[in-house]
Amino acid sequence: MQLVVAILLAAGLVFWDHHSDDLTRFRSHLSVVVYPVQWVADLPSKWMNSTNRYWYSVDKLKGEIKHLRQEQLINLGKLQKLSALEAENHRLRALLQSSDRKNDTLLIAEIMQVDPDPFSQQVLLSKGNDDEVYLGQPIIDENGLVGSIVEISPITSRAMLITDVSHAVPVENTRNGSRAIAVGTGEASRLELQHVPLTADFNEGDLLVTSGLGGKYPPGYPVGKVMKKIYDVGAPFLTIELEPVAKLGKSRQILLIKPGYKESQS
Amino acid sequence: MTLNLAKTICAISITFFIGLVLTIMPMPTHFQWARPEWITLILIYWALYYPNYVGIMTAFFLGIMVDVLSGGLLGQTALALSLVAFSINFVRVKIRTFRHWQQALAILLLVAFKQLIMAWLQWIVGHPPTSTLYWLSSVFSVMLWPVLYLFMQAYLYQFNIR
Repeated sequence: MQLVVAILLAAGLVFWDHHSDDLTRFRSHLSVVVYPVQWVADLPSKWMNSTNRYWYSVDKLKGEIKHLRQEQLINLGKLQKLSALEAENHRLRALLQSSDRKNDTLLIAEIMQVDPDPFSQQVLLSKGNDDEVYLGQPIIDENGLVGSIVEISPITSRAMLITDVSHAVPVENTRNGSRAIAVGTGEASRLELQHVPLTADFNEGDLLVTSGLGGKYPPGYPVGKVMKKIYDVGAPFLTIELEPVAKLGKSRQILLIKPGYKESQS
Repeated sequence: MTLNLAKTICAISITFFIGLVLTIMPMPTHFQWARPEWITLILIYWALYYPNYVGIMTAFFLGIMVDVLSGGLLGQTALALSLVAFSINFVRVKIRTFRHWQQALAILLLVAFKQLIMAWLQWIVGHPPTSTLYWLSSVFSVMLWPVLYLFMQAYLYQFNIR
């Protein structure tokens, strides 16, 4: 009797969760309940980080500060040029009378936990509803696109990585502007382009960035480099494999983007 | 009597909490497939030796917690664990009297059964496991069984639970 109840409930939940998004709220309530577990599981890496910092030698710290200063200088130099370019872009867009692109704002979040479930590629972030994180918000790291938010609770949120099998992102080739859709494969370092005609112009080493079509991701963030291109005359489409440019398995800090057009809406 | 009951429930909850923490503990990407099924093992232990306290319903709620923690389909682990807890009912007496290697084999089958249900559910949804390494975690779980067994004995002795 108990078994029948349990199985019916579980099967119902699986079915419901798979076919609709109604359970998102329920999940976010439950994730508050399990937060202690997440907090405890995050402790060792927190301790590791702090003790690492504690044992840093002065020399090493000095070296790091010097390195960071230099990097900061170089970045500032690049930024000067960028602001000039941005102003020019604004003017040109005004001349063409096309709508202006607003700047995206960024928020830093920490990755608390990487998904133990081998079927999905998700991470848990330390920012939630209270920090104005919203569903579908894109996240990046210092190199490129990481994924987007799929679940929010008041203090944490869960993001799906671009390599998840159920994730797709519209991309365009920086070399020639050809568009495609990059889908995840479930493996940590591989994406695939879907439905690319045999005659399409993609070469190994091409950098693909988000195209901004579909409205979910703002345009221009690097997604991946073409790693392998398989041309099979008998196949209906090209097989193109990408390597994500973001360090998906390595970075602990990521950035949440709030696209400029969202800002102007709210 | 009630004190004893409260103590036992407390002891059981602590082990499950530790199990949940271990389930989501960060692990290097290369060992991702080797993660032992902590929760399944702990559940099997309690359901084997303390069936009065841990049954199908416990397994169900535990499964829901795992699903919320791991971000998988809600209910998939709940379904698998309930079935495991249910099947233990048939083999409990036998497993308890088994020799060690026979017991290990039985545990292997139970954990593999849980993994099979999960894989089967994922297959229905459309994302079956991509590599045979998936089954590795059953093997690792069984290797941990003796350690877990001894630890639990000592733990219960501490709590003075019979």
